[in-house]
Amino acid sequence: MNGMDHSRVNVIDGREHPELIPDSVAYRMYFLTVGEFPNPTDARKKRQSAFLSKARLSDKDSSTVVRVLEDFRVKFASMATAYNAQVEAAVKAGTGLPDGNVFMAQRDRLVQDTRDRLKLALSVNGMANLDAHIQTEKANMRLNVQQVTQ
Amino acid sequence: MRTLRQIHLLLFSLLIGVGVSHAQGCRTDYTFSFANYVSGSYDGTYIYTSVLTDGSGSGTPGLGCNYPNARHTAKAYNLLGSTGGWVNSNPGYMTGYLSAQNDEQIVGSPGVEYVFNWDGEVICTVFGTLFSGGSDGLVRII
Repeated sequence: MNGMDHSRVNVIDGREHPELIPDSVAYRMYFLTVGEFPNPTDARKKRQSAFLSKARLSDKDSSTVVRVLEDFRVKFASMATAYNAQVEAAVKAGTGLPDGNVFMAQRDRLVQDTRDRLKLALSVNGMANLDAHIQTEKANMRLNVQQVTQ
Repeated sequence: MRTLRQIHLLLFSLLIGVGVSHAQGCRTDYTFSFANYVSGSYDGTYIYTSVLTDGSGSGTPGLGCNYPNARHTAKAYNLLGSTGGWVNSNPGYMTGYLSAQNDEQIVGSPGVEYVFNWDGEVICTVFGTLFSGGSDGLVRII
């Protein structure tokens, strides 16, 4: 901490304040944890099924979530890889870094788009159960947003 | 109705800490946002645990930061029983997106408690620890 001024330090423990974990963060973390890339191994499928069972979905809704989250994982990985390549290129060229806020907005947009797809594709009860489960999972999330000014 | 067995994560001694060391001559205005998610489940045979640390930053480093040499690494620690350890992301630049996901599984039996220790960290080669939060606990199937 020596010589640094930290302003707007915001550490959120979801166990104490789940309501302060934004949905955009909670859904992203859940989608990344439960979603699989295409052609997962049998072991990965079993793992995914075990995690999805906690959301109490019908078999049909569960299959839909598997498919939608597979698409999410592919798009998210592509987006992150492209952004990191832009950052690396800027560093090597000695130019200004790409705006990280733009990437974060795109990332959150993808999360929201995926939620919207699930709302359209799942049964009403299925979406309600999934949302209730992810809200509960906020208790197992921690978020640290910090502005460092030196 | 599908039989559902619940897995309970008993997390003790939660530690959330932030420590940043000083880089001399570096002027910067930098914002980062990192998150950590720990979860578990059980399918009647295996206990599954997952630890995910991800996030990114934004900002413009000033002269003296030597930011091209600064690397950030996201880390996820997942020790289930005697299985697991640390998983690190590829090192990235200060505004890059980082992600470390650590999945473990062991054969589990109802009523038995298993050690489950987890941690999530983001380390900067210039500023030190940007994010750290973890816990030692147990997992039990009920």
